Amino acid sequence: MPTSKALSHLSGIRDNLERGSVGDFLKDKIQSGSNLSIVSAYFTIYAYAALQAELDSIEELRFLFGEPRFIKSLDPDRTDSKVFEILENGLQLHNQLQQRRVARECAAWITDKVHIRSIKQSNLLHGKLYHISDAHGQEDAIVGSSNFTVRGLGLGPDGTNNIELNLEVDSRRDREDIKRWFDELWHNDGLVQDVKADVLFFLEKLYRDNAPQFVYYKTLFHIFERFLKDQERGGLLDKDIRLTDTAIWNALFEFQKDGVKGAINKILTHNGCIIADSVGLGKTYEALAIIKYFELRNDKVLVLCPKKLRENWTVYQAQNNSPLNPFVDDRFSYTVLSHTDLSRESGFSGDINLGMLNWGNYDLIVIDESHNFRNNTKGKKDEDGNRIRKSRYERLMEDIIESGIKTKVLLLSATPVNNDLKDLRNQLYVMTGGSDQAFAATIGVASLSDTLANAQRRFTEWAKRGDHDTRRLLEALDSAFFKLLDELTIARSRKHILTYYSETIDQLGGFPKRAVPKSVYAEIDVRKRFPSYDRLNDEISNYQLSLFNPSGYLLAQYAHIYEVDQIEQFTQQKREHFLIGMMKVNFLKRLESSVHSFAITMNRTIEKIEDLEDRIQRFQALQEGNPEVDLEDLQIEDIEDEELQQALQVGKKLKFNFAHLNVDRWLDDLQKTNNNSIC
Amino acid sequence: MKPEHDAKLKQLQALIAAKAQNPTVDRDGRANRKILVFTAFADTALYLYDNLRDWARQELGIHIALVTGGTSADKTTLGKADFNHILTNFSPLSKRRAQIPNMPQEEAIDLLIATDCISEGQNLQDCDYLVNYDIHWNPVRIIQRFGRIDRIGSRNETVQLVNFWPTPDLNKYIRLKNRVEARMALVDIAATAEDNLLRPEDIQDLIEDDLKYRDKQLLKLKDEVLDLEDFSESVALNEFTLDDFRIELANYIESNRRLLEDAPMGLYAVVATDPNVPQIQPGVIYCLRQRGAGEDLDTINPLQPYFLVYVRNDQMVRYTFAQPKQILDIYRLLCARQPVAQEALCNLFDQETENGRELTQYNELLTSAIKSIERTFKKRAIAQLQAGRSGLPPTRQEQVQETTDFELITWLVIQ
Repeated sequence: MPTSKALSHLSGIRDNLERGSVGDFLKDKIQSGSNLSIVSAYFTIYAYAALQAELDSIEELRFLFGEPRFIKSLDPDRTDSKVFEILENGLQLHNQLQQRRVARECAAWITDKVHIRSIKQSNLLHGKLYHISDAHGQEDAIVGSSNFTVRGLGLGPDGTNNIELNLEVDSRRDREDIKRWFDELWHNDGLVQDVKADVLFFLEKLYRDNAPQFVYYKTLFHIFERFLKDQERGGLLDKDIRLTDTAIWNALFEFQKDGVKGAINKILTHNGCIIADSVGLGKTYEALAIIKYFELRNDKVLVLCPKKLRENWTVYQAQNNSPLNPFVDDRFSYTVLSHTDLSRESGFSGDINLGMLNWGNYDLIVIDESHNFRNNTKGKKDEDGNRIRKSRYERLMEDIIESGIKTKVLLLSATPVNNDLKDLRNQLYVMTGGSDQAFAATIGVASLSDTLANAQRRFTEWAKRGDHDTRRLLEALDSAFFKLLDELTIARSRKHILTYYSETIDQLGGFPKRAVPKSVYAEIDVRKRFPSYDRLNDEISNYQLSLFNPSGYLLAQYAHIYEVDQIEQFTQQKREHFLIGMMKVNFLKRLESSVHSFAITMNRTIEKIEDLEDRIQRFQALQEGNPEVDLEDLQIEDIEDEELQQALQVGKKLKFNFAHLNVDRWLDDLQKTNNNSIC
Repeated sequence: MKPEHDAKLKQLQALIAAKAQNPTVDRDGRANRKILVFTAFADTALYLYDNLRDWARQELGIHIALVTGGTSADKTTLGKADFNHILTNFSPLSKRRAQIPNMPQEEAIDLLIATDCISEGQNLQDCDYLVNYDIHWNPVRIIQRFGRIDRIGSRNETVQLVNFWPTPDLNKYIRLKNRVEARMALVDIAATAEDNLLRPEDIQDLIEDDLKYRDKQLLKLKDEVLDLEDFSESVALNEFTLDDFRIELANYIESNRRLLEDAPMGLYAVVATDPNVPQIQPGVIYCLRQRGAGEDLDTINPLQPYFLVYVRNDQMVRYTFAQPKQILDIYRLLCARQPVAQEALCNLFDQETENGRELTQYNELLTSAIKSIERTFKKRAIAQLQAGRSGLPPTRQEQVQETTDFELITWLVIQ
């Protein structure tokens, strides 16, 4: 508390600087049993707290608000100002912990000793006044600019107070006149009204015990104020676009509607959004509603989906007039193409002529199962490094996203990230058209790849620990990454839906109960003549499968020919090695599936081996005729395993010349394998 | 080997017959004979269909169908042999068959043999019984398959998953599987080697660890149905977004906006710890606002200009502002279902603090919280500079210092 300043005894001015403060004047003059009259635009509990010892001892205070802060009828929309006036801005943080106690004690004091009235009209009464008459009729007064606040009265630490200009009233005549002036105002019912109850009502909010739930929402209310503002401004549902009138909108569950609203806002703000809701939460319907929103804006929409899910989308197209389409009235008019169509230059996809299609002319592209674009695979190149064919990823980026009009992007995937956050980066690039800085201004992520690479490092460190404790991961990741995902994704799990939409879920009858899974351990042969699964397993593991290993028979002098262009550390030898591993897995998987499938695979493999044997023997006999073998030709046709299919695409197409191979040894090994086969 | 000697096929038949003869009953009292059989291979699927068709029609009197995703490979004993028609006849309620003229309205398909061509994106929840005729080695796929019938809006009380395992000795099965699988995972690496940040050995370790983890999950599937989020081999994005909190707020605010607006700053509540969550120790969660700060430093603080800090009574800062998600999770856990103040706790708090007069402890905690904000803010600002992401460090004014003007928004006392 500042003590009287150097000049205060020489001057009647109180300025919170050299000439002292109004607070000190009040401390000095208020006596036990004093009667006070105050006019001020503000009243704060902290000013009361600073003068508590003096104020608690008075007989009575009449406090007149010079501004109608507590008169609701005048300005019902004014809400936050009241809080502000009573609580006072710019206080030391630690004082704010005292708020509840101070408010309670202040309320008790007001109830007991204070009358509060307020002027009814704004900007009418500007003067500030403090008048004190003690029990013996002694009067003191000061007038000027100080409000009844810590900073106004000069009660804060040095340097935090306002500079004020107040003048002590030192003539008896003026002191008496000021008192009369105050009384006239105080009793003028046309100008003032009693607000004591309002003030007490407000104070009660500060000292009553709060419900945890309310404090929780109060916290959310502030930290998400920007979101709330956006939501109000967005107001996408009551604009000209009558999404709410559509059949698809009305078929959505509550949580799906929320997802749709969120996604549309994200697409409008960031040009794209990933919906990564868990399986079974209805991503397709959500996407349809989003598509409808943009179609209502006359945007052209393209849906890219896996070939096997085509019908999931075409069924809603109005043009197909499908009896299975519940949304005929919505007249969906988007285009549907398969992911694989991106590899084609001509021909038809459904009734669309790919050769004539204007790829660049779409406003919104919806990519179903977008994790299929998690690798930014490069297209095939010829020997000189010129690209001869674009990869699907390149086609998507160059022909759809970057060419023609600006394309918005909606990605759908329950599992957008597989092992690597790079997956996510490549999908985000689809939104930004490959630009690394696209989110610098809007989200504050200066570089997408840096942010995700950073996150990947943390992710790897975390994964290495092996405990898969996600909390630990979340702590390690930096907030730019959170921000990025928070801004661009809608991702709800079944647990989340159950938590936040329990009412909706209950109305729908909830999820079914999951019974404990049953396990069936299947024998292979009822007659037990067929070898057991375990034994077959061991045998398969020992297969050499030299069929898929031509490079194992390369003659040393020719080896260099086949070492060109390999991916770092990944030799052809290694490649074949892995391939053989995967082939074995395929055998095992098919055996596990059914003896029938296993037999088919075995037979096909044997045919291949025999075919190769024939060719080698012909070559041995003639030293000519079809002298090359291509690894791709050796593969078995029945590969349904996605992982295996991917593995097969690794590496360059490579043809081996028989003349460069030790064909005798190869033939020998092939025949051995063949004889060992079971079927 | 002939089908009549196929022991596995016989076991499947036994399951189908049992369900057909003793159907489950759904919530609306309808008998449910439906079974969905998944296999990874079209060859197996076709083999099953061929060998079950006549038996199912004649012995059990149910309709059977096959979908494998191949062109014109689908087959059925009821209605059109078209992919969508088959699915609609198999799950007529979820697919709203009643609204579709020219489709069968009485009969339905009760046995559907399918490959993973329908393991994603289909609503088949009329069915309550799913058989994995082979265990897909990726457990995620198994969950996806189950997701066809395990859906909101199912009229079935329970859903049953049946897994065929090749051998009762699952550990041996897993070991064997790993021997072949771990090495081949490297292919994945090679395929994307060009822009990997990690050394190949690290990735190999990583993938092997991951496979081990997968196996654990696969084994678990023996006894329970897991959620997709339980598989951390794929990062679940919902761990990262704050959307749930926003939605929760949006729901609450509909009828409480005025209350929230009118409520003053600086409010606090008192709650007890949760015995089920030992990580939550007594302490305080402060929510502060930095006065005069814009929102543009949000790469350092995701909630700029707000700071959430959870400091425990032993002065340890458990979570600082960089981890808003964790703090909000705790906040919600302790508060969201507490619509009234807990009198006993409040009284205790008043006693301990002499009715709010003695707040030394909370002042000290607040000081610790601010120090942690200051420290973390600096650290993150520097890290950001080093990562080369943004050109300029925060200006002096923007930096958080102890003297910085903070406003107390709320505080939560955890007793």
